[in-house]
Amino acid sequence: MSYLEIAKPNKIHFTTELKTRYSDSRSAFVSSGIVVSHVTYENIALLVNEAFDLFLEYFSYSKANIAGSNIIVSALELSYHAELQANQKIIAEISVTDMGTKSFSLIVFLNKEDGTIAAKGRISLIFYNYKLKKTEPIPEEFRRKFE
Amino acid sequence: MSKEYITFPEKIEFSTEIPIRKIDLSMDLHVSFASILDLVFEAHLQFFEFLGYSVTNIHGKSIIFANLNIDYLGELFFKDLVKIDVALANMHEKYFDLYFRVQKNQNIPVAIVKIRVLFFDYSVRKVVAIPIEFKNKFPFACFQPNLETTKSLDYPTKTKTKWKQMQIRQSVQALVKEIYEYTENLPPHEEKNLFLKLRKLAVFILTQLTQSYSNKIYVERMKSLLRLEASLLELEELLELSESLGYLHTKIDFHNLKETKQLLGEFRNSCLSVKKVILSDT
Repeated sequence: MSYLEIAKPNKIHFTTELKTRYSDSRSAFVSSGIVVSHVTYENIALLVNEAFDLFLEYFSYSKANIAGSNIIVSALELSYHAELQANQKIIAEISVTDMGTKSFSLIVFLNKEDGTIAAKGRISLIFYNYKLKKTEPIPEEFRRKFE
Repeated sequence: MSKEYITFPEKIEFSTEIPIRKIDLSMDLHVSFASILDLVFEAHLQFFEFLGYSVTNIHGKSIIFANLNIDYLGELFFKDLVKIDVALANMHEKYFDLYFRVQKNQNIPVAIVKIRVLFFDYSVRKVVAIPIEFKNKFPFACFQPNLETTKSLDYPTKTKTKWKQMQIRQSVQALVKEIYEYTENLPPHEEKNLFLKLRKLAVFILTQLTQSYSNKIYVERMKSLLRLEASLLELEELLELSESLGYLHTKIDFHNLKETKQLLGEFRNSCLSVKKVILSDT
């Protein structure tokens, strides 16, 4: 199966700090008899989403209102590169890329404090009008900000 | 604003900071009453990690929660930085209390939580005593009876007269002795009747007095007191009967009986006013 690696974007639009919680992690006795405890793969998506929310908040947007429009998610890709533990500080770097007429991508890198990349995420988003139930062009204001 | 009922102990054992996430919010309003507990649980896990334990292995034992009280004092929103202080109190043989004080952005109160924690052995699925090594870590948490319950549930506490110095105890003991001496003089055919009844009653009065002084349960103390009073009346009645039957050859005063009855009023009052007894002096 092919996997298109998420490349490091040229420009980072937003950086924020996150803290993993115990509830993000799981502990288990693995077959070799030792206890393994780390942030689970599905909760990495949760952290990527949290970084996304903080990004929107920073630009005075929210998922309910982004430059007067709304967005829907068409795809989410994640790749895992290092283990994350509970109660650990992480740096999230967010970039807006691949701006099309109606869609764009959000690249989210989750880094450890020492700079090691723990996870890379790509969220593909499309502007959408819930009233007309139709996709719509990227609002000018948004385009100007991130192009 | 709401009133605080739970008194947070003075000594903070551990503090942690947790940033509030967007998904912690309920219906985009604020962190829900239930989600506050998720944050508390987070602090709880961090605290045990900090102590070098895992919650499933504290000197080979685990812990379970018996009950939980929360005072909600403020709201939490997205991007708030929550500070949770953890404290410990009321270390007893099988349980202790964990306290969590939730505050945000420069000490704005959010909630105070008190959890009663029991030690549990999953291999036998039974509540067990707190490991001594754990107890020794928190000398401060032992012997703090005034932090026992939330203020609203507090009973007036006062120490009672020491048991051995109680006048009523001395007079009842003398009464028992007196009855024993008296019954020696009863005719042999009363051995299975009055002789036995009187002696049993006298001893019963003493045991009920002890119970009504020392039982930790208020209602039980009251019950013993009622039994004590009834038994005294019964004793009096039986003595009167034996007198009318002519067994009382020499006039015995039974002043201990009278004295006991006099002291009973005072004793009853002390039983009623003290709901929570400190038994360290018995």
